[in-house]
Amino acid sequence: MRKYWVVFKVALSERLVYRTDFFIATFLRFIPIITTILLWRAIYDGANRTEVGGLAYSQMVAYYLFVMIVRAFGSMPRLATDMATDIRDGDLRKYLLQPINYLGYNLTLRGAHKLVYFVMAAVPYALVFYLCRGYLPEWPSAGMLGLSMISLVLAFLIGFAINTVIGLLGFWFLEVASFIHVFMTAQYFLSGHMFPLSLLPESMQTVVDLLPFAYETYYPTLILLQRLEPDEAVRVIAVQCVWVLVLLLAARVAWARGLRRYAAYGG
Amino acid sequence: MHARYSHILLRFWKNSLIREMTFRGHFLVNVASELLWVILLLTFINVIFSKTSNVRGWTEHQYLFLAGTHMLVTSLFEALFFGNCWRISQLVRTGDLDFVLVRPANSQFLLSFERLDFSPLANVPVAVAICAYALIRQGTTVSITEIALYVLLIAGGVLILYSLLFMFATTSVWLIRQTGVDMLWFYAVSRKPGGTCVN
Repeated sequence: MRKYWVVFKVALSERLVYRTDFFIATFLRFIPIITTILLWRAIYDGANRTEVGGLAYSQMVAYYLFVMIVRAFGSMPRLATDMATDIRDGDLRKYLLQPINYLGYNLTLRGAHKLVYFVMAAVPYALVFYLCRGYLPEWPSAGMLGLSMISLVLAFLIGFAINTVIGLLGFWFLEVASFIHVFMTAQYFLSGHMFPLSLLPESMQTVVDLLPFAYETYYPTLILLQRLEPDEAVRVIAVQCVWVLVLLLAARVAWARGLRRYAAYGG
Repeated sequence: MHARYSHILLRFWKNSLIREMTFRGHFLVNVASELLWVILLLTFINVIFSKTSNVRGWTEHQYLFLAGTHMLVTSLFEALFFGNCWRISQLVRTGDLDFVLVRPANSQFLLSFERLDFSPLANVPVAVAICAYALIRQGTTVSITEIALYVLLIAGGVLILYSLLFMFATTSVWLIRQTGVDMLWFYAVSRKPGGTCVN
């Protein structure tokens, strides 16, 4: 356990090096919120309705704000690409020679990255949420807050597991990088990041519900938005747990099988 | 002078083509990914206009034309300049910028044109098709002059984007690592899910 603690600490300090970069990036991330607010205002006005896809206007704006929080947990920038590159370039041997589990190492690394991100992004996030407070629902009860936190942690694990499985495809395919791009595009849509999935026609919703992506973003966001009753939230969390187990298992299998194919020469 | 630069440009593009032909699978997957994005975008527009017939006075076909034009400008920019602007920050960080600066030619020219990215170019006919479809469905007729003006404005749009991103990329000389270039692009302009954003 101690070695993972060391990995964690190193990752923390590495992340604190490029601070200016970080603040620019965090700021840019909020630009789309402005256009989102304006676009949906125009859509609600044009439609002359108070509800679109089961959401009132203020809930729609809050949806996009909460999606950013959920994505902050679930997104794993470059994880799949880095893994595929490690495999292709043979850098993987560096980890194989160390008494450390590669997947555990990456999970620790990502945990540290997220922690730094939450600490540093707390101020800009708080500012944006304060400015948009008129759109936000009432402060949730302690119970719902607890369920939200659990759901967010599970979103992090689902995000990690999905990206790991994709990255490990590098054992079998040389050009995973471009495939990852297709995957990211599909995920943007299927996870409800682009727009709430309740806007989709019913038939498409049924299909999208069968995939893990909705449980990585859409449903945790609905919990934060307090659109789900506590028992529905618990059901979502249960399905999230199943997906975490299935995907982590898939990652373990892919790792074990891939290693048998893997060959690195020299040093 | 002029002849020399067009010669360099041609050489750059030839090299890019050779590069692209080496990784043909990569090219095909990239094109597929771009097409997927177009389909998703059209789905989104369709979803919006299934709820309302106009958004602040914009009809569905006008909105489609806007989306097509946006795609045209961004695809051309991505093909010509995005990769080059993005590479500037990498060159600064690795110190390879020196090798560009010592060459006996305008270094901004060398930095701006070295790579031509072919996969976004595949979007250009798709964008034109969307625009044409929107115009026909809208029942608008256009004259040759209007088309010429449109092309001119598209070129202007690409150049404005280039100037902005190039300016932004040069700040990497002071800030060393500059992931902000792709962030600015993906979040503020192209509105695509960026595969490389930080957090």
